[in-house]
Amino acid sequence: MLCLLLAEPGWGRVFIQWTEPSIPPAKTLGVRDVVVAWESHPPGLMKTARSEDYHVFAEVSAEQAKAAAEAATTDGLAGIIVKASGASPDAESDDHLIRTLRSAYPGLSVLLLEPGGKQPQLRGTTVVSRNGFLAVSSPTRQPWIDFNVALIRYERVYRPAEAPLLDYPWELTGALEDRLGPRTEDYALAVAEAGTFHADLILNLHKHLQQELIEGSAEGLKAWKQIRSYIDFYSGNSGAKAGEVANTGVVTGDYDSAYEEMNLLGRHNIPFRVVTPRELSAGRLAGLDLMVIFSPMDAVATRAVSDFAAKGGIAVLTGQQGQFPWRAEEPIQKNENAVTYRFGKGKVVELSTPIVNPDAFAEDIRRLLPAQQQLIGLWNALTVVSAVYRQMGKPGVAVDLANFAEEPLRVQVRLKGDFSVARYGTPERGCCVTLQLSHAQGFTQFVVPDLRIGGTVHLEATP
Amino acid sequence: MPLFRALLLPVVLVFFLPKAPPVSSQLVYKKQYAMGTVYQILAYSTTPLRASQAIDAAFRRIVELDHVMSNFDPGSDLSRLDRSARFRAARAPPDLFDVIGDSLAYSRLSNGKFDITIAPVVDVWKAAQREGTPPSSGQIDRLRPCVGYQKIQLIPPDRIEFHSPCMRLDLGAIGKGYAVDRAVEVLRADGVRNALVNAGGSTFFGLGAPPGQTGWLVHLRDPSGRLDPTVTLHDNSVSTSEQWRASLIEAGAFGHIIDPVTDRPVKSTFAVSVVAPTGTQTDGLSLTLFMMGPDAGKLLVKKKLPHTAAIWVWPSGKFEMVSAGPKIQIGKGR
Repeated sequence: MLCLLLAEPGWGRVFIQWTEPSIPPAKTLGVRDVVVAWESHPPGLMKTARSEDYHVFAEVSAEQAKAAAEAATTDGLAGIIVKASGASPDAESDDHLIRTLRSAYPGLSVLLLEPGGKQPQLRGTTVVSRNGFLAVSSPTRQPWIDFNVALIRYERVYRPAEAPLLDYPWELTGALEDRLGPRTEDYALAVAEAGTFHADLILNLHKHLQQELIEGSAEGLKAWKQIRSYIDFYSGNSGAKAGEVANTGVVTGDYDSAYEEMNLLGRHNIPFRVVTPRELSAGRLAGLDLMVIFSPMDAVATRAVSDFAAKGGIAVLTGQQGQFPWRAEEPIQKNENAVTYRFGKGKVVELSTPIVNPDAFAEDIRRLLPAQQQLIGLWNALTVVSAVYRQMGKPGVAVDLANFAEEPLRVQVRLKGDFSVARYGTPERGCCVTLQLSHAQGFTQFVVPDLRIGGTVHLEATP
Repeated sequence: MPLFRALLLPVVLVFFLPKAPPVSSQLVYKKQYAMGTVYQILAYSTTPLRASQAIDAAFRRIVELDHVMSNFDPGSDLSRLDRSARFRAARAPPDLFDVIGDSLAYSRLSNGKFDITIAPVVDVWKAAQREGTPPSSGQIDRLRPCVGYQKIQLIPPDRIEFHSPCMRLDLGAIGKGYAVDRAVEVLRADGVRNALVNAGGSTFFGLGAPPGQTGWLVHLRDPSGRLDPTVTLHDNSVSTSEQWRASLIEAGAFGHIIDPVTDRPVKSTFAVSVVAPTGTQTDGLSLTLFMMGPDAGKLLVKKKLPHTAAIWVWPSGKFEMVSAGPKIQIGKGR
């Protein structure tokens, strides 16, 4: 049965970033939260936005935060959004600043913006920049996906009191895209990605779309209606779901050193959570069947890993130096990169070389987990990423799916656990159609008929 | 920069910068997911909106071909052919007939090293990979009646018969190149003169050239990371084949390319890139020359493949090249 429950703060909030001097009324857009740049907003925009019934947030740097908070209280702003200086657990100063501001201005909403977010999208091998392009040939592999799962899951652990808040520029290529901005599907995918991984999002509306909305053009309003259906779907979903389900742990205290591996684990739909080195040393590993350890291990961590493996866990060590008890055993497998030991009821895999191919590594992790321990499997889903959540207050889970191909896919899903009812909802069609289920060997299987960009399957556990 | 991203985009800081294009010529860029990969088209045009529409039309053609050649879609023309052509001539749409005909040419050229009938054996190896143990010789033997390009009979103008009770075709080694060629036809017909079509990195076609340049510079796959071979495409194509390493952990793990002659995964560690006039040719030839290796491959290019060039690059930095026309350069752009 699915096993791990993590507490997390609220999520699913989408803030609209606005840069044009005027703004349509909040009731026209159907959203209330608007973000404007503290330094560079057009004169009068904050006042206009407030008069049009928006909750206005000012986006500020850490240096500007105090002055902005002081001014915000007199300007009637709903809050300020402080750009964090880095995605490191050592970014104590950001956390301290946020705590100080919240304490000093209790009526003001003070939020922290994670740097390092990127536009979710499928990538090809030709990289286009403003000045030229780079084309690199390669054998065909699964399409590369840019997404924010690593950042979100890392921040969730190292800043547990904050819902991760994302913001990123659009990657626009060529004069036509520069002028017209992202496609409606790009906006929808941005909202779906944040919703799937339970992050808040500042959605940068391109100047062209802002102008269309100000003018009330039919084309702009049509696009916005589609985007809003995604905003409504994911914000409406947020109350029903609780902690994310994961049975793979990534032990790291350094985001950059484990970034690509986390990214590829997410890409291969291996449910993982970040584990701090302190949690590892304290043996707080409940629910994990497999651990990948990036942070350096001391004697206490070594004991925790030994206990984990002895009880049946699989530990994968990357670049670790030291004397380890499992080395007293004969390796059960060995190649130029890795040595595998049986230890107690479990296994320890020591990788001696850097992980030069995280894609192959993620596939290895999936193969290391016995079939009975693979929480979710997807088929016909090369461009789909997923996350599984406990339902709030009732037995059952919700599976969020995001399709980066942005075209309807018929996705087969195999989920660990015995579920009796599955209801599938999408932003386009709302909630819900009932899906047919089949059961085999402790798993529930179903087909999602038409996953376009985002959707959620709610499953009720068999009593 | 994380290592994997560094490997993927190793030259982003030193990449080719075309001279500033004339003001009247603008870059239009679009991408589309099809055939399990991302197609990208870049075009320079004085009428960007028209070029954008032409690119959309080219993508529609690729998606249409996906519905023809997909072996995942049970409703595709290929799947229908697989079900209906066993010991009975069945009609095939022109695209399917053409691409199967092209495939058979590469099978003959390579004495069966390139073979679109290998799908059942590939499937057995894929399943074996999930289990972590190779298939038994008995399993492979049972599939022999299903495999062999000689068992495909083309009956012009539009019928095909399989002389096998269990044959299934897989056009994965040539379909993307064929789709690239058809997309280029659409672009040309719609007035686009300068464009680069990229099918997931494995096949490129350079139509015309970017403004101020002689062609489209493509960095070729280099497992050594030291050579940086490049080719400048101008109305021709390049494709790359390589056996991917399947596992960092398992001893004796096998990759995705199976040798139809031995029915076993190929162990070659080199990457092969082939330059030729069309995407169909380079896609088909890259696997053909990968399977044949440099000795036989170079001979084939010299004797039978005009306007073709190929390079084999090993992880050690060793490389071998042959050319019957196009130039592959080492170290340009680094």
